[in-house]
Amino acid sequence: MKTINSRARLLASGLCLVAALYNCKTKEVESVTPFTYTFKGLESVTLPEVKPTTPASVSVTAASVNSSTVAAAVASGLSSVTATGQVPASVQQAATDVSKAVSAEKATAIAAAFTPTVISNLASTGTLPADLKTEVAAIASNPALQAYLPTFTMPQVNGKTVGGRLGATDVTLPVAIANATADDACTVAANTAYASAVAKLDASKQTQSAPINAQFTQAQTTIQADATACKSSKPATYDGYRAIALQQLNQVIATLSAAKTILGESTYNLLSVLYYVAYSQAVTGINTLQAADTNTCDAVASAKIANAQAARDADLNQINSNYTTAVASLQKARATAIASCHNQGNGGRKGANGE
Amino acid sequence: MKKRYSFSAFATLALSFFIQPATSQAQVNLKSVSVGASYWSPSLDYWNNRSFLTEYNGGDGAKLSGAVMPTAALEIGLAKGFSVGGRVGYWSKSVSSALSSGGINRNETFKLSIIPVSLDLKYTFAKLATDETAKAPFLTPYIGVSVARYFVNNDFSRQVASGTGSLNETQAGNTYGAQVFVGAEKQLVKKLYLALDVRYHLGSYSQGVRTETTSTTETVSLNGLEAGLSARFKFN
Repeated sequence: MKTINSRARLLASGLCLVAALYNCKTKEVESVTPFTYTFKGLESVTLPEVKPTTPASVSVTAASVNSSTVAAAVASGLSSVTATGQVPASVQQAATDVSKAVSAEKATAIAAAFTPTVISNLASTGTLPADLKTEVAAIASNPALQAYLPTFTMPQVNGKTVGGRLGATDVTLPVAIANATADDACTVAANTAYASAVAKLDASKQTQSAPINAQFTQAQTTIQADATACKSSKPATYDGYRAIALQQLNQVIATLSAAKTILGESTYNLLSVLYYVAYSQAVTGINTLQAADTNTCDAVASAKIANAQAARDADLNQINSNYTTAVASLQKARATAIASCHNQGNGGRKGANGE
Repeated sequence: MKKRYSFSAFATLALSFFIQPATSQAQVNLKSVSVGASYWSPSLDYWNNRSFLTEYNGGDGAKLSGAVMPTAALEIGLAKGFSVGGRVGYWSKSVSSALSSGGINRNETFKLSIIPVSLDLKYTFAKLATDETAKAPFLTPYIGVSVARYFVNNDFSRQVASGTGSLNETQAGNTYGAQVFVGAEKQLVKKLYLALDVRYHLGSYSQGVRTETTSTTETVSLNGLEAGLSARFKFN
């Protein structure tokens, strides 16, 4: 019985030992925590902040139509002729000045040539029959009549007559980044830290560039929308000018007709020619001004975009310059870090043979 | 899986001795207990050739070489010179170094501990018990094989001078292996014997290795010769 118990204990012990060994799976020994290298020179390099610069403003001199004060005085004098039966001196002087540019006979013919159809065609298309146009041009160029004709101020953008173009500078491309080779944990860490720092610079550069580019894009959109609205508003404005000019012509011709008997045939024709020529010049001038003013919309837009572009490019160039400087600092810091990676140790054999 | 199959075969063989016919039962007994010391020099190729220890001592490296290992064992006699037994040891080695790298000074100490636990099957070339007239031999030789389980422990300390990163940590794992051994014992007095045991370890374990950017697994060889002496107390 004793032998049986002893054998049973041995058997149980053996089974337990076998089971304990058999049931346990192997287990990998986890890694020692690797040393984390820190390189202050690589962590402290940042990009200076660059905020979007406000683009320079665009100065615009508006187009204008300047009516003749002398002609207005003549018209005022004419309006009193029928009431007073007297021809004011200003009206007489005007007839005298016109006679310096055109003879009475020719004035009669020119006045007759301005039929309602010609005037209507002039108002709608801005053109005159070729021979009449030549005559009108010759009279209008006479110095004696300059004071009676309207003048026009051409629009200007940044002090230049519309039509000038402004350029933009190129954007500097970022510098290429060379990767260094790695040979040990410290060097790998230095290169990793460098790459991380460069990535941060890249992100920072992107963060700084984004609002600048966005501001330019937004400005561009707004400017182009403004230009479109500007151009679409011009026809109505200048149609109004042409309507006023025609109204004034009709009014002064009616006044002249009412005072024709008092003025006399010759003076009537001379003054009629004066106002037909003035009207022709007004229509031509208004049409020219409308074209220039319409072009001004584009010129202003171009100038504003150029200014916005210049502001953007200056900012981006500054960012790129800062970036280049920062990367150069990082490269220098990396070189210093890698140089410091050489294990100076104690150089001895402490621990080499165990303790 | 292969290890499990080989271990199962060994376990079956070992257990077969417990189910012998009744005529053999009387030979199953606690045969001896031993304590001793051995010098074991495991290869530890990873640590010595490829690990961060190679950066120690100004780049000269630090090696985990052999060390004296205390051992304890017991033996259960079976039949016809065969016996089974259990044996355990404790091997440890540490290395340390000052390091100055990346502009940071630090001291690191790495201690590796291995506890081999083996189940031995041994054959002793002893005279037959019935031959009482024969003269006791000067030495009694034996041979054997073992299946072993190795418990591995890392103790790592890093002290960073004027900076963050100081730590004390431990990692543990285990693996299986095998051993073959030969030896001889000599009777000193009555039941006390002195045994010389030479065995070769066959095995390896997996060591995780991380850097700041990578994570791999290295195989660390435990192959190596062990030789030692032990005092053995025999019960019969």
